[in-house]
Amino acid sequence: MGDVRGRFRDDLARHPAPPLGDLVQQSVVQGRRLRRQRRLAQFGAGGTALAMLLVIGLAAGPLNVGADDAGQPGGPNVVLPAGSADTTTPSPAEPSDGVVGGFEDGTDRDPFRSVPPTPSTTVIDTVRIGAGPDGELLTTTPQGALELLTRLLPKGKTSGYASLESSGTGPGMPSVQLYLDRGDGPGMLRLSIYRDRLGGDPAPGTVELTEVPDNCVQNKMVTVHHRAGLQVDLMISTCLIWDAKGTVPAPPVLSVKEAIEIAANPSWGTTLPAEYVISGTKRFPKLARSNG
Amino acid sequence: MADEDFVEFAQATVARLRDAAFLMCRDWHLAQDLTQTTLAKVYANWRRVRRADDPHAYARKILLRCMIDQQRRRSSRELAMSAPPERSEEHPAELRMTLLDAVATLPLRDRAIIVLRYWDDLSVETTAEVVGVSIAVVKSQSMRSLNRLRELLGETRSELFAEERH
Repeated sequence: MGDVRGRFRDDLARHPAPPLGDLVQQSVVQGRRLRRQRRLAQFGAGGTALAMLLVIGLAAGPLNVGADDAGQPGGPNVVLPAGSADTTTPSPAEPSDGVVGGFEDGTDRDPFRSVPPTPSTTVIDTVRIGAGPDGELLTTTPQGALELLTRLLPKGKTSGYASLESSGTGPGMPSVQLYLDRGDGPGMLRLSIYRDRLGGDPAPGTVELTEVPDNCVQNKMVTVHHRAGLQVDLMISTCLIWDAKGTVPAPPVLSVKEAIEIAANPSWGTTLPAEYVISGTKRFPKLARSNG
Repeated sequence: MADEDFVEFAQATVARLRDAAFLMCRDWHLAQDLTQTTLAKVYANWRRVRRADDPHAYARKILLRCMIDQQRRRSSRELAMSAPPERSEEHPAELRMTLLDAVATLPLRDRAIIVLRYWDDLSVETTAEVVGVSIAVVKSQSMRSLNRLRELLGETRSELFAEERH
């Protein structure tokens, strides 16, 4: 037995592990979300604001679920009406010392805004998910997702297209990245389509905002729940990935309101109109792959 | 307080959990994702997990379920090899099959049994509980898998698992 373990150890030594980074912190964020989704399902959330108020109220209650939400600006007991969820700070984050920082160095914090010390996820809105697309549909590809995303984005120059690895994805559930420059320099956006089968699924149209102040890639993430348990995440980053070792500070290029509108587009799904998939294949023939 | 307990548990187990995941999937990024998902599920069930006799075994059970689920969803990412690589007389050290390569040829359940028993050093009973099979299956599959690994690794490495032959 000892020899087997020793051989495993040798093999591990030949394949050095990447840094753990904020894995534990991210698992807490994800775990809170799972717990909240389960609670939403238990209470039979039907997508009404009343149900969400109930859940959010519970989160701040004695069950200690989502306790961190209590300290979030805006408060956990507020359900914003549609279109009023724009809380993004428009100015780019400035590093305090001009040094390129990593995910946890805090250089993406806005000194003029009080941010919660820990990640938090809050149901911030409900939107109506329109009817899905008609016509010929093809399995969603990273290229097709980028094609649709670029059509939905506000005017600006796009670049930095990449397909990302994501453990929560399957066929027709890509995760993609691009940079958008609206005149203030490029900022990074990431969009993921996935189905999280853990716990219950919030009602279609539920909009969540996850804020991870110490993570410049997932600084703000809008999640819109579509039908059949499908979720669309749109991350508004405050940095650019420039290689495997670090990041460069960058401005957030979308407001939360804009991100909701994009992520709530009914075209998103495990299939897309064939036009997007075909056009995407032509437009992004050599899509970079990134592990983020 | 519960969060502090969980973070303490997670920090104590995360590296080992991720190593086990890597030994089963041979992909650090996938191992990282699976570990995060595992810990997230542990967090979501922390009140129950913390009362369990062996929270670490519970975490491994969740990890294995995550891997099975992942394999179902993304079979195209499976890295298992169907046949051992060709050997070279000139560069035997570089091209010879490693234990990691050999383990990757096993079905996931057998991979898990090998990793849990011989890397995580879990007992036969605990391994059976984690994998969800009987003790007899763990014992028989362990022997079969080790025989298979011996075959794949070649005669020159027959001494590797010598103590397992008895």
